[in-house]
Amino acid sequence: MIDFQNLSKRYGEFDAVSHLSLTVERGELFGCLGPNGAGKTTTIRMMMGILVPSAGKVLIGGLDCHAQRAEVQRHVGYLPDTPIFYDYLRGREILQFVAEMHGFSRREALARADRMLDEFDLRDDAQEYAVNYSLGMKKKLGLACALIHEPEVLILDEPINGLDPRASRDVQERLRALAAKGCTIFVSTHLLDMAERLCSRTGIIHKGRLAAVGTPAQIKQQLATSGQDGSLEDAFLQITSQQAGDQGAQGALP
Amino acid sequence: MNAPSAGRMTPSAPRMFWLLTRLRLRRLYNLLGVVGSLSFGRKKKDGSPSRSGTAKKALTGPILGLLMVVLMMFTFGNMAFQSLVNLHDQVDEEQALTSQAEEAGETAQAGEKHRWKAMERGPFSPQLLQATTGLATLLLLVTLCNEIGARELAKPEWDMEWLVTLPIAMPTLLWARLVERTFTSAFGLIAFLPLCTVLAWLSGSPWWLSPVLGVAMTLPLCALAALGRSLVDIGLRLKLAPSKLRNLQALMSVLGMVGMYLALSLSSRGGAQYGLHAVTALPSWALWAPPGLLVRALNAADGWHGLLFMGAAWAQILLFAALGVAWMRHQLRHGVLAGGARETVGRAAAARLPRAAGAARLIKSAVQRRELLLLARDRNFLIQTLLLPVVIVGGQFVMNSGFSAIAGLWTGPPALAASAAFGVASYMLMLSAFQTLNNEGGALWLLYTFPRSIGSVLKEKAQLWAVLALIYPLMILLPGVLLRDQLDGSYIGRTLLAFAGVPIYAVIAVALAVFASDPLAQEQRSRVRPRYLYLFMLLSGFYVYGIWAAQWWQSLEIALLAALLAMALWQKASDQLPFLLDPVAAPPARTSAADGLIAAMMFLVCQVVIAGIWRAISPQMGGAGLLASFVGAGAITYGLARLVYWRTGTRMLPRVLVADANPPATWRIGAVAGVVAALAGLGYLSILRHLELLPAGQAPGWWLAGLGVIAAPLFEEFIFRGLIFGGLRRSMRLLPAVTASAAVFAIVHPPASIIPVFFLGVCTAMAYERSRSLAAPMLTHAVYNAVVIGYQMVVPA
Repeated sequence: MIDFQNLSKRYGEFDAVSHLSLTVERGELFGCLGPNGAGKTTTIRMMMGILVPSAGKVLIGGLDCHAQRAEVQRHVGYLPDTPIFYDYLRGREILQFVAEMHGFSRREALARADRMLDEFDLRDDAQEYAVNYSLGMKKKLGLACALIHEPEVLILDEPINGLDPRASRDVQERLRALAAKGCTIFVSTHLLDMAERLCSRTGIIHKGRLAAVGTPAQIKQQLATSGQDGSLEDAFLQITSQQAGDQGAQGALP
Repeated sequence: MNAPSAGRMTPSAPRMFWLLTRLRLRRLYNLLGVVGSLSFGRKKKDGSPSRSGTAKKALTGPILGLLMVVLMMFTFGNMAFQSLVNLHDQVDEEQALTSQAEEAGETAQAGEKHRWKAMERGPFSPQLLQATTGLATLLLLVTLCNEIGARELAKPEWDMEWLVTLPIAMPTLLWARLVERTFTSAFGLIAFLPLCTVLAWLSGSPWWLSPVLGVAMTLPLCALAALGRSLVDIGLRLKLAPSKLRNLQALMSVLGMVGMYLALSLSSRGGAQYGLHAVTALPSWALWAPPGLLVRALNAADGWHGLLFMGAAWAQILLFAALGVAWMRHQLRHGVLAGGARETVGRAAAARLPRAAGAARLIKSAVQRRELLLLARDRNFLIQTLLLPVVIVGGQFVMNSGFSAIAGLWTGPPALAASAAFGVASYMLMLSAFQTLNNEGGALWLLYTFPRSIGSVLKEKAQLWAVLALIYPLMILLPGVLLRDQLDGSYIGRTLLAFAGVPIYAVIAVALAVFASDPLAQEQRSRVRPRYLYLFMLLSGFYVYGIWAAQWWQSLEIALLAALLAMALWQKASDQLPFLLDPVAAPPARTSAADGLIAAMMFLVCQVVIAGIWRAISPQMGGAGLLASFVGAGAITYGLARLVYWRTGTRMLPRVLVADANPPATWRIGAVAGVVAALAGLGYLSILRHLELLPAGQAPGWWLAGLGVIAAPLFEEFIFRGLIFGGLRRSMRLLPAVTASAAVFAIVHPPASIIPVFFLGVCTAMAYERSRSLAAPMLTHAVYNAVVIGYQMVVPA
């Protein structure tokens, strides 16, 4: 469903993402792990057409994300890491606007917005201007905006970051339910326990390169000190502590 | 509590004042640096690594800022001087007149003598003192209003929340805030310092002492302004609801602007008397208020009196400040932030909302409805877009000619009303449509998640703003239709022209906005690149020139060019849109019709200039001079275009030699088209000769003829067919593109030859279309030129 073909992004001398090749199948819940500054957000922005790849391309459903951005967005829902909304619009109005921009009629958009407000428990704050929301509420609103048109692909940039435990659990349950219904989900996160619990496959990005990819169990097996029943955290720390000169997808599994 | 460990004591109050002020000043310095370096429009798309942190700013930023400040001081100083002189002339002359009239009967003569008595340096008359105090008070109020109106009142000052967590007692913090604001008020400095310095000098101080005295007087006035501002934004902020605060802010910004115009109008001689009335309407007790005391201090007969007055002023100010701080403490006793100052509309009002929304059913586009909603709620934006253009343009009128001038709009020349209407609309577009991308703010990412191209969203916004901007021309021009005695074609024509200009310039504004905005910029101020703003103003001026043009067909030409430019710019902006949020990528540089149109305008200008020079050198200007100006203009424009394209690395330039071309076919196409155009030209010339309408003048010599046949086609074809026609053809069908490019080609030639040149334009465009190589139209043009010039050489006039 999502196909990265040698995707690269370069800022002058600095390689933010370099030669990323990966395929995410339909219905997979793919977790993209990596330390801060590894290039996860850059990759996601290239998927959304916000950034332009310096080389290579990424296809979603066979459509090029940069050249055919508008067509791709029909099937994609996106949640950025810090969602910013318009100052003087209420939560409900933003949801309505998003639904209408996705092509629903006014009445349909209103109905969907109401449904989303109830589903995400935002009704009490629906009248409030979005700029006054707390971070958790903004993320909920952002997730509602991403799901309002029932997309086939969901791209989330650090969705759990900043949420309290209950909200975090809610989001994870929702993601699991969506994946069960066949939605392809691409999540970037640095919370390893969530990745271990939730994702069917994970990829570890380090300094712009794909350092490891596979199911959590497969990655744990890559621990140098084999025989030790390490956690994903240990594997992650080991993989991402290698020097910059040590490039290449070490033992990456397809 | 244990005693603080050795070496760590709570800072004393003066040290706190100094630390806070220094923090503020440092921030201001950094800000100036950022604005200075970015106002040159340096695009950040060079290959600098993105994570290098804020680069060390070149010293040009602060130096530029400083230069601007010095320049402003100078200008305002001049205006202050002029204002005081005018006040003197008005106020003292009246006084002198009345006193003379009481004394003797020969009023006229005595009045004359006093009227022209120049202003002398020294103590002022009581009336002048009063008027000057009025001016100072007016400036104080203007400073206060502008400072309150310029900031977001509804949100707390960004650092108050944070400073409260430091070990400072609340009264100390409040006093520190007052001190800090006194010293860092840029507006107050610019408003007061020039006036005070000039006042000191006019009161008889030596030139080296005047600035010192000026500063000595500026400080207490800034302190007063700081006090007023703090009272409102620290004290009132907790008492009023956020929507009321925003209303207050909007009101303040409007009042501030009106007051500024009143103050500025004093400096112009023949200006309306509103400013004068404002400053002389001061009650006499105001001379004992701080501004009055300070004015008297500067104007005192000797130093001791001056010090006395200054001391009294400071005493009053400190008393007010103490009272103010006490009141603010009282307001803040429950904490710095109000408990959830939210905008929540009550449940009852929530029920009313769906019904109101029904009224918006007429507008189909979600983008436009959202824009209107934001406009209605954001008071600042509302004032800026709808009210400010009227205030500014109206202020110009009022300042210079009084309200009677507005009635003169409709009875005067029609071009005046039309250009005023277009000017207001264009100004409003500059404030609104030009900011379309910036108004998205941080929420621009949301537009990228929709299955719609950003271009279509911008198009809808341009539509909305065009409609809104039409309100002004309607309001200005429709009464004219009713009020004028004779409704002639000229008025209606120019009215239509003004109306047509609004949607055209809405498109231009939005297209330029794409280039001008930098959505990745952190600092609000640097979000718009100024040079595109100036370009927009220049283009608007161009259209106003078109409205004022003497012949109707010239106005039409300009309108046509403007419309073409709008389309061309839109095309160029659409290329840019996918790359907006990317700091390093940019669209592949391609040629576009916009480049061609700008080249055509340059061609026109160069041609006029060269023709003027030729005429100055050899007054007998005829065909030779015209030809030379064309060739010269063509060469310059071609050279510049090539240079720019080489520098920007543009590819896919129109080529003469195309890889898969068929040379014989190319020559054939070119020759055929050339013969057709030449025949038409010959026919036209012979008709003209028959009717004896041929312009006289010396026939061109051989070398000039050679230039005309060889050089001119080379240059002109590149611009008009290669750039303009090629660019238009990318987005239009054949026939409109041919017509448009031929029309532009014809416009830049002298009126006598428009018709055959238009035909030539059509032929060359068809030749280019068929052969895809510039060789064919060049041949066509060469043949035509050869025939026409040869005719002029062979056949005597």
